Amino acid sequence: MKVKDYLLKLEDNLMLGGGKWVADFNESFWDYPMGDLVFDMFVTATVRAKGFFLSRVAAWLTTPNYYVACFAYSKDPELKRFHEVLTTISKFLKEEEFAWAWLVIPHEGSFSRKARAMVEHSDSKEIGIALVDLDSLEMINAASYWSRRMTRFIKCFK
Amino acid sequence: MRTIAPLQVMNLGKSFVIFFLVTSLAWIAANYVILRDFPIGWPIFIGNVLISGLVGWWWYKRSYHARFSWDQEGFELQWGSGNKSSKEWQDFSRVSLFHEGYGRFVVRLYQDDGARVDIPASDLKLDPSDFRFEVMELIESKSPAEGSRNAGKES
Repeated sequence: MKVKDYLLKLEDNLMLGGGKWVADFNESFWDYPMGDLVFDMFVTATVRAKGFFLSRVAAWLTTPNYYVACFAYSKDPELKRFHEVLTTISKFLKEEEFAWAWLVIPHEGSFSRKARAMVEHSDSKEIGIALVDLDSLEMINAASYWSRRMTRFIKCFK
Repeated sequence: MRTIAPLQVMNLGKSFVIFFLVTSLAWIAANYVILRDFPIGWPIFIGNVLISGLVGWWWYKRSYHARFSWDQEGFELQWGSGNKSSKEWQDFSRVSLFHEGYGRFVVRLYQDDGARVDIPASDLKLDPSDFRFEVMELIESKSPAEGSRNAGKES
């Protein structure tokens, strides 16, 4: 599977599929420049669900209104700029007052042992991180809560 | 310049429902004032549907029917019989795909000053994702310094 095909499926799954259970992912940018990086895809969401009148009232009464995002970055499968990517996202979350983000790193091939270790040992709490090997359809995620939670929503290979 | 203006069923439905509710409430109010009663039956219901259909169609053509034309240089967007909005692709710097809910997408164009224009891709029966990429290419090709938008940034 090509990276673009996977990202199209991921975008569709976030905006119209299972992603709805986490947040209302409603706006998607491709080739989005941020800092010195250009993310392949950047999808923003709010956790307050929409709907008809009663659903909106219920959501307004029960759900906090904060923003979240999903980033996809495929240009660095060796994770040589991993720290820079995380710093850029953390800075964005802080400046724009987003609560958390997912970072998906898709690659048409296997990841190096070093790259796997870097993700598995990442301790970022507000950024869920996952490596997606599009050849073997394998995913490697960090140990944080958001990293574990995101795997079922980014597993969209069919 | 390519032009599309297909029938937009969701917008027509919205227009019909608005006028069905208005005529129903008007009928109920008028009967209460005149007869102090609420006569309901199939002829009344069918008449109500016909009136709502006619008025709804007129309102749809007047306000909700989108007509979109575009070429390599820019585009024109007109809602109903309102004013045509004309823009050039080079006026914009960023594109997004925005989900309005219920599977309806717009392609959202941002200017540098934050102003934005929505092109109702789903209403126009365009493939929202493909159209988004087409617009991205048009904007990229028309940007003042082509290829320099991400100058200093990675390729």
